[in-house]
Amino acid sequence: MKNLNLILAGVFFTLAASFGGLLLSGQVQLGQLNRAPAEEGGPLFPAKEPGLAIQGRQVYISLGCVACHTQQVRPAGQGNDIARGWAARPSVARDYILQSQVLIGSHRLGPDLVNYGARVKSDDELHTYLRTSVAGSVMPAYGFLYTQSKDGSFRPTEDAVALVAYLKSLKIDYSSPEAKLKQ
Amino acid sequence: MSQEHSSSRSSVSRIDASVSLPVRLFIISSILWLLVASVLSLIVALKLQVPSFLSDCAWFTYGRLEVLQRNAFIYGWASNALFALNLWIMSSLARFELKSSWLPVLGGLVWNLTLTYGLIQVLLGQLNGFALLEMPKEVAPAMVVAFLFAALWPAVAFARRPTGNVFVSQWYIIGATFVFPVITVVAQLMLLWCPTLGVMQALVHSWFYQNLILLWLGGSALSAIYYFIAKESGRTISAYYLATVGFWTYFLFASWTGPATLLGAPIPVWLQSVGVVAALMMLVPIVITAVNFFGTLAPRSGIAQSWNNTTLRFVLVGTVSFIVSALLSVVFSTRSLNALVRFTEFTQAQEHLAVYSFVSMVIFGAAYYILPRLTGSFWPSAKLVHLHFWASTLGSLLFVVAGLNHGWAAHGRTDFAVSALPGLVAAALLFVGHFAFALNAFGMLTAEEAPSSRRSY
Amino acid sequence: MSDSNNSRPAISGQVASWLGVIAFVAVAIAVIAYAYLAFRSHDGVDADRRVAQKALRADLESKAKGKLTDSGRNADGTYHIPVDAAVALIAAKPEILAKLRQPSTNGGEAPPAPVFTNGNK
Repeated sequence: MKNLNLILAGVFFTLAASFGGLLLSGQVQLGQLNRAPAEEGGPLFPAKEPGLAIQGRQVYISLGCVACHTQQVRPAGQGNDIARGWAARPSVARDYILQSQVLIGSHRLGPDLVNYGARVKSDDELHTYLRTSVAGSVMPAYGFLYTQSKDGSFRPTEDAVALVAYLKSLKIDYSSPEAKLKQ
Repeated sequence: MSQEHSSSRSSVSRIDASVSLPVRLFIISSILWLLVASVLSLIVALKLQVPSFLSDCAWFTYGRLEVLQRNAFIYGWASNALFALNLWIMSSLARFELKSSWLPVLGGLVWNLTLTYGLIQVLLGQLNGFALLEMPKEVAPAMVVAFLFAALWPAVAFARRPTGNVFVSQWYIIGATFVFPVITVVAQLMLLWCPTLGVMQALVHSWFYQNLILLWLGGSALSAIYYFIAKESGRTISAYYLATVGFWTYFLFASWTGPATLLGAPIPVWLQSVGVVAALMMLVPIVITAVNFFGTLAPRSGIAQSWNNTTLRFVLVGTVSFIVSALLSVVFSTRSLNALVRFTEFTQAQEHLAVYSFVSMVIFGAAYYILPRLTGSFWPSAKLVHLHFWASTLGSLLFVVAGLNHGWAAHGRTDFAVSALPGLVAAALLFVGHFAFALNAFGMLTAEEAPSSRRSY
Repeated sequence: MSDSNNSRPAISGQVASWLGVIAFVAVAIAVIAYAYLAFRSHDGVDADRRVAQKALRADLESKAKGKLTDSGRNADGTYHIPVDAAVALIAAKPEILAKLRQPSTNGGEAPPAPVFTNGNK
C-alpha cells in the first residue's frame, strides 16, 4: 500500500472488474440483437426508420429535448408508466437496436415519448402544439421552428418537419419476442 | 469563524510557493466557471417558472442551457477546483516541491480553453444526448490530454516522497486521478467513436456517470475530508485501521453501481440486480467513513469546535451531506422505492446533494484553508465568508428538501406539476453565496501582499 | 524540507515519474479498449454469417421459383409442387407461411402461394 504502482494496479483492477462484469457481459448479451418478427413469418421489428426521422433525431438531440422527455416505458410492476397510457407494453432492448443514439433519458418534466407516434393524431396537431404549446405546460412554445408567411399562416421549417417525422416514428405498437402486446 | 484572523502565517512556505502558480490558475478558473454555472442555473430555474423566458431562439432552449450548466459546474468548477485541491494536499503531505510548474499550467489552460470551445459548440447546437459527454466528440480527447498534464502531479508527488509515510488522503487522490482519464476515454470510445448497439449505450453511460460522480468527484472530496478533519482538529483519525478497507470497498463497489440508476430500463434484469447489490454494498464504505469522521470529531465536543472553524464548518456540512446522499442512494436503490421516485425531482435532488452539498462544500472549506497559505494574506471580509456559508448551506438545503419532497409527492400522480419556485429561490441563494465567495477570493488573490500581514507564528 | 531533491537532476526526475504515470494510465486504457474492441469484433463474425445466410436464401428462392411451372398449375390459380420444393420455398421466404394461414380473399389469384396437393393441409 506504499507503492504508487500497487495502488494504481489495485484501482485498475476495480475498474476493470466492473467494466468486464457490467459492460463486456452486457455486450455479449445485447450486442448481437437483431430485428425479429412479432410472429413467425411476419415483418421484422423494429421497422427501419424513415430518412426524415433520422434527421429529426438530430433536431431532437440538438434542442436538448432529452432533458425533459424520456423514451422508455417500465414494466407494469415498476412504476405507473403503462397505467398512464404511454404504451401498451414495456420497452425492451430490441426496440432500440436501430437507433444511432439511444435517448432513454433520466428525467421527466413531460410525458414519455417512446410510443408518442402511436398516440399523436395528425401532423397538424403536433405542429400546432410545438408552435404554441398549451397554457399551463412547462414546455415553452418552439416558435423559432416556424416562419410566418404574408397571409398570416405559419410554415414549418425543415427542422420542424424533420422533428415531427421523428416524433411520429416513435412507436412500440408491435409485439416483440420479449414483450407481447396483449390482444 | 475567526480562525483565519487569529492564526497568520509567517510567509508562504517553499512547498506552497512551488505549486502556487498552477493552484492559483486552477482556483481562479474554477471560480469563474462557478459564477458562469450559477448564472446558468438561475436562468434554467427561471425558465421552469416562466417557460416563455428566452424561448425565442434555439440557443437558449432549456435542454441546451441545462447541458451548459451541468458541464460548466462539473468540468469547469468542480474539476478545476479538485485539480488545485489534490495538488496542494498531496504536495503538503508528500513534501513535494514542483519543479516544472509550466506543465500543469499548460494542462490547465488547455483544459479551460477546450471546455470553453466545447460549451460554445453546445450552445450552437452541436451536442449529443449523454449527460456529461454532451460536448462534440473531438473535445473529450483534448480534455483527457489536458487532464494528464494538469492532474497527474499528485501521483508524481506520491511516487517521489522522501519518507515512506502514507496517509489515507493520498490513496483517494491517486485513485480518483487514475479513474477520470480511463472512464472518459472508454466511454467516449463506446458511445461516440465506435458506438455500441442500442441500450448498451445507456449501460455504458451509467457506468461512466457513476464512476465520474462517485470516484473522481467523490473520491477527491473524501480525500480532502480526511485531510482537513485530521489537520484542523489536530486529532488522529479514529479507527484509522478501517480506512484501508473503506478505500478499497468504496472503489470496488462504486464502480458497479451504474445499473442501479437504470432500474426498470430495458436492460437485462440481472444487470439491474447486480447494480442494486453493489449499491447496497456501498453501506460498508459509508459506515467506515462515518466512523472515521465522526469518531474523530465527536469526542470532547469536537463538533462544536469544528463549527467555530471556517474550513471545518464547510467540511462538516460536506461530510454530513456525503453520508445522507450515500444512504439515500442505498435506500432508493431498492426496486419498489426506486419505482416511485425515478425520473422525478427526487433523483435530481439526490444528485445535487452529492455534487453540491457534498463535493462543493468540501471544496469551499478547503479553499478557505489553502488560499491564505498560498497568498500569505487574509480573507478580506469575514462577513462575506458568513454570507457564503449560510447562502450556500440554506440554498442547497432548500433545493434538496423541496426536490425530495416534491419528487416523493409526485408518485402516482399523472400530471407534471413542477415546483419551480423553491428551485428558483435556491438558485438565487446559491448565486449570492458564490458571488460573495468570488468577491472574497479575488480580493485576496489580487491584493498585493501587505508586509504588515506577515507575522511569524 | 526536501533539500535532498536538490542533489538530483530534479526536473528530469519529476518529469520522468510523470511520464511513468502517464504510461500506466495509457496501458490501462489500452487494455480496456482492446477488450471492448475484441468483444465487439464478434459482431463482425455475426454480420458475415448474416450475409452468408442472405446469399443462401436468395439462391434457394431463385431455385424454388424455378419450380413454379405452368404444368403444375391448378385450376384455381395455385400451384402444386413436390414437398421438398415447397419446404425450400418456405425456407427462402418465411412470410409465405403467414399468407398461407390467411384465408385467400380474391379467389387465390394474386399470391401464387404453393398449396400441397398430397392431402396435407
